[in-house]
Order: sequence, then C-alpha cells, then structure tokens
Amino acid sequence: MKYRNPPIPEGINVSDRHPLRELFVLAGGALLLLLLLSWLLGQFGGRLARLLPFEHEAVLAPVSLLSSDAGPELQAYLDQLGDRLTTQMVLPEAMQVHLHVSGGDSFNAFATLGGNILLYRGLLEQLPHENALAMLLAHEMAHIEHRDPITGIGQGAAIQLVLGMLFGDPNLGVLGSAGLYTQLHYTREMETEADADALQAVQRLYGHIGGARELFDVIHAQREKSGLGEMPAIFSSHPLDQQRIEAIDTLAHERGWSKTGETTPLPPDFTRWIIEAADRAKARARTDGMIPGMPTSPSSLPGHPRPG
Amino acid sequence: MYNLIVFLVLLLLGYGVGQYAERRHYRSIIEREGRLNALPAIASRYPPTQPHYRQALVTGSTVISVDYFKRFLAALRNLFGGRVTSYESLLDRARRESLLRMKQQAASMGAAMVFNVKYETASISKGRGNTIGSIEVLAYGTALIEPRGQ
Amino acid sequence: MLISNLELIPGRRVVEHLGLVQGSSVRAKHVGRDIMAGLKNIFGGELKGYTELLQESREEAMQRLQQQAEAVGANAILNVRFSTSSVAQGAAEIYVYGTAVTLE
Repeated sequence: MKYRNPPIPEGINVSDRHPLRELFVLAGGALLLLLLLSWLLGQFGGRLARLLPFEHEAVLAPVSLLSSDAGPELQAYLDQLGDRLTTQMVLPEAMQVHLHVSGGDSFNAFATLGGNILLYRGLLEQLPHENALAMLLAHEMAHIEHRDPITGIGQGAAIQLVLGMLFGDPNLGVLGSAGLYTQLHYTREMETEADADALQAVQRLYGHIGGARELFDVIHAQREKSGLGEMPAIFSSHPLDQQRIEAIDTLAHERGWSKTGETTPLPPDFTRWIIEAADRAKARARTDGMIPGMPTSPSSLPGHPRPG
Repeated sequence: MYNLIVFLVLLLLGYGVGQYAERRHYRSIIEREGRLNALPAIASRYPPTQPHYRQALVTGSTVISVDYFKRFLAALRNLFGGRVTSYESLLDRARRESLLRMKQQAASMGAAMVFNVKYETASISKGRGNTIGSIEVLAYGTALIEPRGQ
Repeated sequence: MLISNLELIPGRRVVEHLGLVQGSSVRAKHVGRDIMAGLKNIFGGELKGYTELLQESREEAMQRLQQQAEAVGANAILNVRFSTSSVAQGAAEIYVYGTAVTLE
C-alpha cells in the first residue's frame, strides 16, 4: 500500500471572479431593485391614502404646529380672500380650508392635513401685491383639493414601513404627529398640477395672471439672496423656478389668459398686521420657550417644509 | 451622508487589507503544504497494521473572520442567490490551514501519516444583526507514529 | 470516477492512496425563496426551494471533489463524507471530502 501526496492545483474550490466586479454588478442590481420597489410602494401607498375620507384627515392633522399669530384683522382679510378663491376653485362641500399665520421668520408656506394651511411671516412680508398672495393661497388650496397632503404621507409611510421591515427597524413613529410633519413631501407632478389649478383660480378672480407670475420672481429672488442656488432639477422635488414660470406661461398662452393687467394692492395696514404677528410670535416664544417655524435657512416653496 | 462615507471607508479597508491578507495567507499555506507533503493525511479508517504504529489523536483548528467587504458581498448575494464566492476562499483557507496545523502537530510527534481525518466547521461569534462574524474549522485524525527504535 | 463512502470496495484492491481531496460550495438563497419559506413557516410542509438549493450546492461540491481527484490522478474516491454548515445568514456551505485512491 503506497501513500502519496500529490499536490492539488489551486482554484478548484475557489472561484476566480474578481470581487470588485461582483460588487458592482450586485450593488447595481440591488440599487435598481430598491428604486423600483420604492416607486411601487409610493404609488400604492399614495393611492391607498387617498381613500381616507377628507373629514377624517382632521384627526391626523398636526394641530400643535399650526400657530395662529394673526390678529383678527389679518385673519379676516385672509379668510375673505380665501373664500373668494374657494368659490372660484369650486372646492367640494366637505373641504373646509383653515388659514393660519405664523410670525416666524421662515420664508415658507405649506398645506397640511385637514385643510390647514400655514403661512409664515417671512414669506408674507415679501409679497408685493394681492395677486401674488392670491396665487400663493390658491396654490396651497389646490394641494388640498388634490388631497396631496394625505397622498404624500401615504407614499412616505408605505416606503418607510416596508423598507423598514425588510432591513429591520420599522419606524412606526411615522404615524405620530411629528412623523407626519416631516413626511409632507410633494412630488414635482403634484406641484405642477397645483400651479395650474391655482393659476386658473387667480385668472377667474382677477381676469389676468400678471401679478400671479410675480410670486415666482419673489421666490427666485429670495433663493438667490440666500445663496442656495438651484439644484439640478432631478435632485429636487420642486420644479425649478424658471420651469414653473415657463409652465404657467405655456398654460396661459393655451387658454388665452392675459399676462398683463392691473394688480390689486394689499390693504394698507397689511405691513402693520404682519409686524403684529411677528411680535405675537416672539411673545409666544418667550412663554413657550421655543420658536417654532424659525429655521435659519429658507426652504424652497410654496409646498413642502424641509424637515430639519 | 456621514454614515455613507463611513460605510465606504470600511468597505475599502475591508477590501484592501482583506485581499492583501488573503494573498499572504495563501502563499504561506502553499509553502507549508510543500514542506509537509511527505506526511499524507488519509480519510480512510483502516490503517496499515504493519509496522506496529503508536497512535495519537491530533487536531488542528483555525478561526478565520470575515472582513467587511466579504460580508457586504454575501449580504447582496442573499438578494439574488447563487454562489457566495467571497466566502469560498475564506473556507478554503480555513480548512487548509487547519489541516496543516494538524499535520504539524503530527510531524512534531514524529508521525508517518495521519489517518481518519475528519473536519468540523462551526460559526463563532455571530456579528451584528444575524451575520456570522467568524468561522472555525477543526481538523482531527489519528497520527500513526513510528515505533521507537526504528 | 468511482465515488463511494465505503472503506473497502469488494473485489477491488487499493493500489495507492493519493491523499485527501475535498470539494466545497457556498450558496445563498434569494429573496423569492426566503418569502416562500416565510409562508411555509405558517403553513408547514417541505421547503422545496431550500431543498433544491442544497441539492444544487451538493452537486457542485461533488463536481469539485471529482476535479481534485482527477488532478491528483486517482480513479476512485473512498470514504466520502458530507458536512453542512451555515456560514452566513442565508448561506450554507456543503463540504465533501474523501480519500483519493487508485483502484486496480
């Protein structure tokens, strides 16, 4: 009986696929799969969320974040402007719009659940005339009419829940009120459609869209001033300002709306009301110990408040 | 963003250092296998009865740990299925190393050959999540030692 | 190539032992099989997906074993043993080893 030990060649039990190549192939595939899954979940979640009747939205609304720093005169003025717009927009009976003003510094305004719209002083004080304000209000109301808040939350929640379950640590806090606030995320399609509906309402109210376009100039100017610049459109859920202006110009051209016309000025006491709101906010901050709605960087708007 | 950078750095470290360590280890394994070639390791259970060998149980074990890069590749593989190539070389090294250590122990006893070689593989220290952090391979057999005076 | 887990083949004599040969294969399941297995956890029954997976894995390991035996010039592998271990979450290693011999 002979016992030999011939050497065994390498590479039989080991594959010679280069690990880096494998990494790229696998990671690329996984990323693709993830994007597809997220998109599918978003669509599904959004559709499902829209089935929730509007009346029940109010239960989920983040009421604690909706400050009311507006004095009675400012509130009355905004409410009557809002009513005129809702008549033009023909909102369903069940949809009640509630306007709130925050005296905070932020250059922002957003629509959230339950028909609540929050406007910040930082934005209101930059508006040149009533037409721009009307465009702003109409835009937010269009979001509510399309049920964008609940859709956005549905999309975000669906993605977070399922991906959380897949990768561990599902964040069920997404359904708490803080989670709702940060989940408010509108897609570009939502914004474009809101723009179109708002433009129509403003056109019906004033007979022209001249002043409405200036809202975007104001936004653009603020963005330039804050030095944020514009990110490439693909990375931002917000259509770039230039694109939005072009979009509404195209729409106006199609419908034959006039781009020039006399703008209605804001009431003379508007500036005073705004300052009063700011003071009220500061007083509230001193008693509460916190200053809601005063982030240092202005977010892109109108539309969604950037979380954090 | 910060998390992503940390992750990429770990991945790069895992890849770079892991590949280097693996190549070095393989070189050492091949060299030692050449040296211990004269000592056969057989999986058979019936040793030769003549000459009258002394017997001793010899073992060799190794614990080799996964590096970050390999673990990440394996996690990705879990999505799509198929051969987990990053673990193949790991296990190959662990086994050959264990066998060499067993043979070394036998050689130090003056053995002529090792019979009834068996392997045991176990996973040690489950790492973060449920991924296994390191693998232990044990090789054991009976060393047949030349009787004294021959 | 004769592969057997017998020690001695009746009627054939071992001319020489050519050392230990081994074949191993590590395979991972994919998400589809995982989901089916999850469902089976509720309903019970054979996890066919996993059975297939391990079967393929074993075949590949045997193939590699044969490759090694051929490389050392053997014509039979005796005393073949299997070993299965889980090396990572969702991946199992099948390991086959035996003695390569020349039978006459």
